[in-house]
Amino acid sequence: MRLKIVYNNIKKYLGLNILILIATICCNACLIMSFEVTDFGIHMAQSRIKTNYLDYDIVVKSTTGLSLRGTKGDNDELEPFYNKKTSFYNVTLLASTNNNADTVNVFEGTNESISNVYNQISIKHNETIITNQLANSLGVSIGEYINLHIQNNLYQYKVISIVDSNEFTSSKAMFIIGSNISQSFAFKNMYNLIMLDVKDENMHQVSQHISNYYFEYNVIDTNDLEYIKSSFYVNLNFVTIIAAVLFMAIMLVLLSIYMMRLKKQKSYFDINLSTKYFHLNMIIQYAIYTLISMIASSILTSFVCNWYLKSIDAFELYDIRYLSIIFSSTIIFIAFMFNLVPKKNMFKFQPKYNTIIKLSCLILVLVSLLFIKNTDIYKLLIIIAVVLILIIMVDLVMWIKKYAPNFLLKVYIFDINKKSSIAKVILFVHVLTMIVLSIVICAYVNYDKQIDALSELIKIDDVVVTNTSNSLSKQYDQIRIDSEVLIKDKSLDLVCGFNGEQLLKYTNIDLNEYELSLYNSSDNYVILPKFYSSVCNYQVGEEIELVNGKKEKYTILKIVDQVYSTFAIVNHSDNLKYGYVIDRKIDLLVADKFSDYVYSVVNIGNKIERMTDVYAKTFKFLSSIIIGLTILIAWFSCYLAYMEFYYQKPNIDKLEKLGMSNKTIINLEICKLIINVIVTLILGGIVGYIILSYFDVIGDLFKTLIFINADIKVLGIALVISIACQILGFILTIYLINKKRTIRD
Amino acid sequence: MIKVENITCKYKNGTNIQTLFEQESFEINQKDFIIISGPSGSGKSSLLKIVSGMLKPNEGKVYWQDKDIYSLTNQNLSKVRLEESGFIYQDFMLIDELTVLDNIKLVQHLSKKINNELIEELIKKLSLEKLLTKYPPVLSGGEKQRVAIARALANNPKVLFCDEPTGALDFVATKEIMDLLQKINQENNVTIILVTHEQENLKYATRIIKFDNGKLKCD
Repeated sequence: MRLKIVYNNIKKYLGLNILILIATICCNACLIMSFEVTDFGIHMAQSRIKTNYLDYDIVVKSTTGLSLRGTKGDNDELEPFYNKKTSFYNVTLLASTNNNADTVNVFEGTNESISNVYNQISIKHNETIITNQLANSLGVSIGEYINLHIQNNLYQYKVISIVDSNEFTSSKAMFIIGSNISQSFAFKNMYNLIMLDVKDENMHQVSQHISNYYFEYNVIDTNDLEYIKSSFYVNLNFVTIIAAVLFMAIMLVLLSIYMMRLKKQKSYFDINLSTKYFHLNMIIQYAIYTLISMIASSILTSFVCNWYLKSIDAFELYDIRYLSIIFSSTIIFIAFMFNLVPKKNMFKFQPKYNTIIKLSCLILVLVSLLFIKNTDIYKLLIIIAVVLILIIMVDLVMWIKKYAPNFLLKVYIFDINKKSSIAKVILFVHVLTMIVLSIVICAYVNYDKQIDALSELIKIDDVVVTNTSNSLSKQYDQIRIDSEVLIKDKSLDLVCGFNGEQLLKYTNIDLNEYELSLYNSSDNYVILPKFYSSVCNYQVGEEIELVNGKKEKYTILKIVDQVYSTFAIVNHSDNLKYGYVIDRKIDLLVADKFSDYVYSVVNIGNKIERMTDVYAKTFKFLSSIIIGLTILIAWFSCYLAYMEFYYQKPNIDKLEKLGMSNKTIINLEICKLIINVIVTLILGGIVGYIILSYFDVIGDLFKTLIFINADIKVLGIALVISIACQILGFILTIYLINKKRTIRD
Repeated sequence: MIKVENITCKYKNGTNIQTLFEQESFEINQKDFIIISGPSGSGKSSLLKIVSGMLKPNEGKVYWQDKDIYSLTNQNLSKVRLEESGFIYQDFMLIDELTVLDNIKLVQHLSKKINNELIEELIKKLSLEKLLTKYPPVLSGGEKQRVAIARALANNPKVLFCDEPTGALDFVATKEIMDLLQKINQENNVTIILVTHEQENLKYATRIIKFDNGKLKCD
């Protein structure tokens, strides 16, 4: 009997129930994602690392891309640990044809190593496999020849295959076999890129053991959680929790409307059935919805996560944990049950007491902010303070509406709304939409700026890597470049070593006299970007440890505000201290001057490009979530407009019966829209600008490489989107007004 | 003053179309106090809505001073209704969020013809002085209907349409309201068209329109 009643209720309000179910599923999916996002992120990062290193467990890799020093012998010591090994001599060299020249990432190995990367392809000594990017750059096709400049010799290779580049090869790469590189650079049997499929399950011990043999090398355990975490920057929790809260709000609002409509029928109460009976029926319905949402949201979450993993060519797919599903569904069910609580008794506050409570909370939060700094609670308190300020300001706007110059306008925008919170909620949502959108768009705009800023900050394009100091190199600046250095548990993509003079010459970093004297001293000093100070809470003067094969202590000299990327600048007074020398190159022909000594050419621009590429993939995923959020906000705006119309409908009907024309109602709606737009502009603009200008905490919330700066243009774009949402709501209201009129006629 | 010509009113009941009345015609003169009576569901309120311009008949025409009101645009119809007629409903149709004074002022603002003197006069005439700052939910039924009458008269209408104005009132309040309407009819020369099912109210009428088996009988 109960189930039949529940079924009839659902059938009667089918559209509304479908919307409730969709909102519930989306809310549940967002909740599951917020619980799973850290694990998913790690899984995502691991997939990327595994893709980078062809699913090998351990990678032994030179920190500069090239180094013979720091190894205790040849690679035989690795023998006991692996089932399968792929090794290459990996250097960056100059490749040319008759018409073009470019730097290329060269992999010299055996046919077995090459077939481990590209199956079923084998080559001869004077043949090569190249990537399509290199083919395009040099303008070669299959059967043509490429000249490779190795030390002072020129070697010719015939292109026998052009392949797609992958994460492992990077963009411009060529594979060769033989011993031209190993002999020219005297590598002997010591490969500088070794990937191992380890026998032993205890990967950590193996990697530790290997580390003992390779000092200037990175030994990467692709299963090491700490290493994987160091590659995962973006905190998606923030976005998914916001989405979950938004969906839950929609779900609760829709449920309230549904309950209101059911109660209006009075069928239960008219036949003397108790409220308990009504509530029990609702609980059955809630339980059914929770169960459906549990199944549907698990599928949805799995689909979204695995879709992303597939898009980055992940090796494995992700399994959502049952515990997260059960936990999120429990929250959903509790939220459903909240709808049954008699809210009138819970929130029976007089408006003036309500304002007093809001003001007291704000004062409490602001006072608390004075005592807590640079902690997670501080960040949370700032968000609460901003929300409270917004709520109080929206209250103030409602109060000001009371003094509208026109009597009808006052009635329409204030009086008939004053018993409901919908008008306030609409205003709050639009202002918040504008703020959130301005932050997100600012983040995107600033992201591009960051990459440019990094190029501007370090003004070097290419460097030539030589194997020793020589008389000729004294004409050039010698600098240091490292990559994949660890700082705490985060990795640095690029570490540049400059002396004091070089710092001024090749960077835009502004040091005062005292800072410069410290930088020129024999102590280790490091300059870090803002990202590390925000994420690791580093302060100037603090001593940190950089792990680059071995651990070294550095004191933070300066934190660079302009950029938010993963780089560092360290001082170095003795070039040979690190075992290799890198000379700044003005053009690629300089390599010829060092022909006896050249190891490699390092393109800094390429390194920056690669950094961009890695982050762009994650941002693609983030942007699809943000686009989804924007659509959701637009839909929510429409639904709020729909709700407001139905709340006002009895009063609009009364006004119409008294003789108010359709045109007057539409004119009043237009006035309401204009007022809301102005309020959004003023409140959203001011609060958005203040947040973006003065709170670095917003950048921290995303925990990305983004440093957010306020930008009036961006605020304008956010305002336009917010207005578009309001106009959508307005169009819907006008449609409903006209539809209603049509029915009456 | 009002001429009703060959009007037909039908409505959908599930898949069936039922006819309330068909091809009915009558005329209403100035100063008439017309009572439309009949059993529940006979079509009294529908007739009032058609005559007052709130429901377009399936067939036929309604003229207000020789103007076919259903040939007007929605906006012009609203204007004519606002300027020439007043409405009183069984459920009062007061806006709960507005004070009594604002409720009365509302129609003047809708027609953009503000006349404070008239409002003061109406407040006095209907003894609403003590209720002006109060909100409708705290008023009694009789008080609410007095406010509704004041609001209906605030535009100085020529005709007053009343849909069961005493339906929600007790005997004393009913008498008070009916006496008041009679007084308005006689002193202000306002035509009143009133729908009621209460037999004791018929004595106030100068003319009665009765529903009898789907047919209108005019006295």
